[in-house]
Amino acid sequence: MLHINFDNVYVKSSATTAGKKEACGPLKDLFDKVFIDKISRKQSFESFELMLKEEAIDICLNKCGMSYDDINLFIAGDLNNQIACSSKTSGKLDSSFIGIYGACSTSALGILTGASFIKGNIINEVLVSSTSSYATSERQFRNPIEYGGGKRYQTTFTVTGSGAILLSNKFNKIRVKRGSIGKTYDTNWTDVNDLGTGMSYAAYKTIKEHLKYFNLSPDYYDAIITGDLSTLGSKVLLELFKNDGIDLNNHLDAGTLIFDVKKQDVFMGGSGAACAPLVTYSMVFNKLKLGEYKRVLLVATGALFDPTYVFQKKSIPMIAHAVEFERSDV
Amino acid sequence: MEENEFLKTAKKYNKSNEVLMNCLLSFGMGAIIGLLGNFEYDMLKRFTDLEDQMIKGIMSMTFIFITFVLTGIGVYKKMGQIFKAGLFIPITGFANSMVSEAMEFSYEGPIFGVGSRMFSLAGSVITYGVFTSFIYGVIYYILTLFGVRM
Repeated sequence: MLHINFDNVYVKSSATTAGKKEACGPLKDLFDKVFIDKISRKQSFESFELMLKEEAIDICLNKCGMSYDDINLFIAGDLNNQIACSSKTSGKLDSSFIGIYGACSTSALGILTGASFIKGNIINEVLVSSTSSYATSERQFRNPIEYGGGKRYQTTFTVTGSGAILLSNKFNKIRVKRGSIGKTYDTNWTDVNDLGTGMSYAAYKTIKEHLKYFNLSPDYYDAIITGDLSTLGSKVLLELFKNDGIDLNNHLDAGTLIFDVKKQDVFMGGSGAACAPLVTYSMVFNKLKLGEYKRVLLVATGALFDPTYVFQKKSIPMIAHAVEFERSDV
Repeated sequence: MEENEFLKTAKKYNKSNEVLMNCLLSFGMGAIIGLLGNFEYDMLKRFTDLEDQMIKGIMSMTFIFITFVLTGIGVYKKMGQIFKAGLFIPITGFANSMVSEAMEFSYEGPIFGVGSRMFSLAGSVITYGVFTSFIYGVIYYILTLFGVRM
């Protein structure tokens, strides 16, 4: 596993946009913009997703008084075929574009890629964005939205939203300190209805190797936030650490933070490429700025699966990337 | 080694206590649909002069129509989550899969969107429906050679 120490990468600005269901969740007041109106019949789900992404980028740049022309490198990903949403958005920006796909781990992968460019002094500022939408990913990976076949209770609910973050080499309140680019683990997991549990193994390995390489204990972090392990996957993760004699009491899961799992009818919690960034860029960054947290480890997890491969009974490889955010004054 | 441990742990937590409840709910819903269908059949038989075949057709169409409406207004999905197989084993499930596909792909135009995608879930019902009726026909033909008449 590749571990990187960043010394000059700061978070200049970040923004989140979210859909209706997220706007009814516990983090509703923390998102920069929420879209609660019903989308019109003329607008397709794809157009809505594009709007979410563009809006997040606009807000992110506006916050620090920048415009599209000031960006030289744009890294983005989403869950559509050929990362269509990101590719389409990149057409609006006058910058180089790197399209990435890490399923639900896209946000962390993007930050790590961007931060590496800054660390290597290749560029001063990088814009990273990741997006997902319930409607488009249901179509991409599952059944049509109105299909009434019923879902298994272990499934997760894809988060609708977009997170944009601007990384810079100029000093700012929060910095990206360390990172680990995950390995892919293929554990013969074939259950598409329970990806949270499947990904918990990748999260476990990534966290373990990250801590081992940098010689840290889990208590070093105020919070270790996994991307979208859901209620079930979190239990498995904690049990795996328990078997090693480690009590991971500072673990939080973005999928269970973004929704009220008991009240909101989201099965085991949220998932998707927007799940981790929506929680991190809103709640976690706020707490970092307020001093409630000193440093957190974001472990974005992804199930790298394709419906065709699953239909052909091939197992699902899982991945997890870790990024450490820290208050710059620490 | 670690992987096996993980799979074991995963299995431990993935225990569904819902099987019995699902079976009961599905069975109940299937029964209700059957009862309603039969009620309609009996009523039409008693109060109209329609032929038996025609009445059966009307009965199916009623349920297809109700499913169309329920799917369109988003209610069927919620019912399906509760009653599962109780709703998709009767003809309602077939209707729902077609309407939901048509709604989903309506943005992609009438030919490659609605037209060709409409059967992507329901297609297997038709394929195997035709296939089994072919098998049935062959068996029936062979039996007639031995003088069996139905």
